[in-house]
Amino acid sequence: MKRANLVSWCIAFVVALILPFLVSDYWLHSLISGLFYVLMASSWNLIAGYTGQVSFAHAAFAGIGCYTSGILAVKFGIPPFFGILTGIILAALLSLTLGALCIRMGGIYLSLTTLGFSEIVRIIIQNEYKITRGTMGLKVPFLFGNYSKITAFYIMLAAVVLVLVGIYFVLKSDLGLQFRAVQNDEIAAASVGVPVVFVRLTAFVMAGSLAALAGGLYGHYLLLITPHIPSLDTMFLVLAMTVIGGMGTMAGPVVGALFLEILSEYIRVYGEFHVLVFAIVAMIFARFFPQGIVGFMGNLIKQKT
Amino acid sequence: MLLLELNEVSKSFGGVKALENVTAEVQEGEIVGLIGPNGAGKTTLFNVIAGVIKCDRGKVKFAGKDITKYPTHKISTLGIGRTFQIVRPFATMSCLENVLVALSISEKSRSKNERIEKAQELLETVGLAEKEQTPAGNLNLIDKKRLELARALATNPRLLLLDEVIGGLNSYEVGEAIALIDKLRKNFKLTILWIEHVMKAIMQLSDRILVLDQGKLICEGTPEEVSHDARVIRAYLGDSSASSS
Amino acid sequence: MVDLLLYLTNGIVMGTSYALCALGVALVVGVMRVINFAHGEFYVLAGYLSATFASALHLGIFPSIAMSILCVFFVGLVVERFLIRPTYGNEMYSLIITFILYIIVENLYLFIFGPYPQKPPNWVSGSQNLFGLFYYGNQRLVSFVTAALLISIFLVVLHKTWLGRVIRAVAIDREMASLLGVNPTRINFFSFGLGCVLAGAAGIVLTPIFPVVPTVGVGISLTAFVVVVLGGMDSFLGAVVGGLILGIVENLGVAYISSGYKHLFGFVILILVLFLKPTGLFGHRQFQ
Repeated sequence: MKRANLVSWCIAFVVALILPFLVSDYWLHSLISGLFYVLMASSWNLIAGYTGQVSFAHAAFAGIGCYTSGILAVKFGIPPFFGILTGIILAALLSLTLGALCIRMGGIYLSLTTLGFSEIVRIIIQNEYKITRGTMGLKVPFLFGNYSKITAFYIMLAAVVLVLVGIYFVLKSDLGLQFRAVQNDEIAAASVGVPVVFVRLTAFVMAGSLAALAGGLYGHYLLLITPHIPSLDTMFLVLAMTVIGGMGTMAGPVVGALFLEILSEYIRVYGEFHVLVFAIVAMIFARFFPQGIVGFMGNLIKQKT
Repeated sequence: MLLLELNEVSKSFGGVKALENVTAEVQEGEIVGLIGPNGAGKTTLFNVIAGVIKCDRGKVKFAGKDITKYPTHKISTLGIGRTFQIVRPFATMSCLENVLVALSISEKSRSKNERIEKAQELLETVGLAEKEQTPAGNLNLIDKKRLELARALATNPRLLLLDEVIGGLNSYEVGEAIALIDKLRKNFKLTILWIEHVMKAIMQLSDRILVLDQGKLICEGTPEEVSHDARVIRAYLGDSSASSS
Repeated sequence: MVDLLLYLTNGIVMGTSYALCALGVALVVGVMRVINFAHGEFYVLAGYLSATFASALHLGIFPSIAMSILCVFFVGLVVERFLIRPTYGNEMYSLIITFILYIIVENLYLFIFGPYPQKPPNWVSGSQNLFGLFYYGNQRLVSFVTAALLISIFLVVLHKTWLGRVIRAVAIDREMASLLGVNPTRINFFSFGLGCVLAGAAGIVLTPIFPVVPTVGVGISLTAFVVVVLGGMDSFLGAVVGGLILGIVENLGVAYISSGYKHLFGFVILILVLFLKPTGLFGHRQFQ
C-alpha cells in the first residue's frame, strides 16, 4: 500500500475512534448505521467490484444473519455472539449452494437467482410471522451486557476494521489477483488456468458470510429486526453506495456508505421519496461517473501530477 | 511422441457447420501451421482444443488423455497455453500482474519474489521489460500480443496455440516476431500449433501445415506439398472475393 | 375434479400472459445479452397508462390500450438509447443500470399513482359456463384469447418475416449477422422496444383482472425470468411452454399447498432447472 493511502486510512481510523465523544446521541445512531453499510458495501464490492458479478442477495444474507441470531436468542436464549456465528455459517452454506447452482451458468444467472432468493427470504419472513413476527419486527436482546450505543459503535468499528484488513489481505493474495483476472476477462483467465467458477464462488461465499455478520451485529444493535434489513430497498442502498463511492476500490464503498448515510439525514424530510433521490443520484453516477467518487478523485489527482 | 490428437471433431452453431469430422495429430516438438480462408473454423478449432467451446461429436486427446470434456482451466494446467486472435489482456492490471496471474497457478509452490522474478524474465523475453508497470489496456496492439505470449508461456505449456500473433504487424515486425517464435520454441521446448494468414511466416517456420476449409480438413503436409495442392489453391482462390487479410 | 379443472384453467390463462411477458425477456436476452431488471415495470406502466387514459381522458378502452402500448414502446426506445446502449459489451454494467432503473421507476409510480391498486375498466362483463362445470369470467377468457393471439402473431413474425429472420440471426450469432449487412445497433434498439411492448401487452391483458400497485413489477420480472430459465434462454418456444408450466404449477400450488407461497413455486422451479438441466427445457447455449 502506498504511504499516502496508509496515512489516510490511519487518520480515518483515529477520527473514528474519538468520534463518539464528539457527536450527539442522534448522530451516533447514524454513524452506527453508516458502519453497518460500510460492512455491507465493502463485502458486496468483493463480488461486484473485484470479480464482476452482481448479487442481489446481499441484503437477504444480512437478513439471514440477523434473523437466525435473533430467533435463536428469543426462542432458545442463545447469546448473540453464538447466534451471529450460526447465522454466518448458515449464510455461507446457503450462498455456497446457491452459487454452486448458478455461477457456472454465467453472471446473468447469478443475478436472476439471487434476486429470486431475495424475494423468497422476504416471503418466508412475512409468512412465518409466528416465528419472525413478520412486519411487526422481532424484539431481540442487545449484543451483550447492558444497552449502550457507544459499545455498539466500537463493536461495529472493530468489525469494520477487521473486515477491511481481511479484504485487503485477500486482495493482496493470489486469490485477489485471480479475482481481478476473472473480472477483466473470464475466458482469458480460464485459459491461463484460473478456475473461474471456483474463484467466483469463493468471492460469493465470502461476501455472503460477511453480509450475515453485518446483519447480525446491526440487528442486535437495533433491538428490533424487521423485514427491512433483507429487503430490496436495503439491497439497492448497498449497491448505490458501492457504485457512488467507486466499485473495485477499497475506499469506494466506505466513502459511498458514509456519504449516502449522511445525505439521508438531510433528505429524511422527504420521507418515502428519499429512495427515489438516491436512485437518481446512483443512476447519474452509474451512467456518467462509473468509476465513482474515489475513482473520479483518483483521476483528478493523477491529471494534476 | 503424439502430443495432440483430434478425432472426428464436429461442431455446429445454429445449423451452420463450423467443424466437420476434423481428424489430425500433432507430434511433440513439431511446429504445425493451421491455415484456411476466413470463416474456415480455425479459431473454433482452437476453442475446442482449449475447452472454451465443447464439440458436438468427436474426441480431443492431449498427451494420451481424453480432454474433450475438461473445463478450460484444467486444460491449461495440463499444459496447453494459448493466445487469442482478438487480444484479451487483463486490461486494468499491469503487465507484470497479467503474467503473475498465470504464475499464481502454474508456480503455486514458489515464493512471491521468485514468481515476480520469473514474470520479469518472461516479459523481457517478449520485449516488454520496460513496460512491466503499464496497465495492459494502455498497450498498443503489438505489445498486447507480446503480453499474451508472455502470459501463455507463464502457464508452462507443452503445447502452445497461437492465433494470428503476427496479423496486423508490419513487415519488419513480422521478421522480429518470427525470430521470437523460433527462439521461444527452442528455449522452452515447445510444440506449437499456430494460425496465421501471413503465408511467408507460416511457410518458413512450420514443419507441417493443416488446411481447413468450411470446417473440413482438406489437406495436410509439408509447406512445399500444401502450397502445390490443387484443393488448397481452389479454396483460397474461391475466397478471393472475400478479400481476406 | 371440478376444482382441479378450474385451477388448470386458471393456470393456463395466467400462464399465457406469463409467456407473453417472458417472450420480451427472451427477445432482449437473445438479441442483446441483456437482462432488464425493470422488465416488469413496463408491465406496470402499461397497466397504469391504460387505466389513466380510460379514466382521466375518458378515452374508450381500445384507444387507451393502443395509446398505452405506443407509450410503452416509446419509453422502451428511450431507455435503450440512453441507458442500455452505453452498456453494450459490459454485462455487469447493464445489470446494475437496469436494477437502479427498476428502483427509480417503482418509486416514481408510488409518487405519481399512489400506493392504492388501480385498474382499467373491464373489456367485457359477465361470465361463461365452461365445460358445463363452473362459471368463468368473460374478461379472463378474453384476456387469455388476446394473449394467445399476440403470442401467435409474434411467433409468426419471428419465423416468417424478414424482420424475424434478422432478429433470429442476431440472436444466434452477432458477428454472422453483421456480415449479413444488418446494423446490430438498430436491431438492439428495436428489439428492446419490442421486448418492453411484450411486457406492456401482458400488463394490458392482466390488469383488468389483477389491478396494479407500484410494487408489483419486481414479481412480474421474476416470473418472466423463471419462465425463460425454465424454457431455455435462447428459445422463444421455450418461453411459451415455460410460461404455461409456471402458470399451471403456481395455480395448483396455491390451491393445494399454500397461497402465501405463490412465488416460492417459481423459485423452486428455478432451482430445480439449475440443478437438473441448467440450459432449460429447450435451450442449448450457456450464457457466459
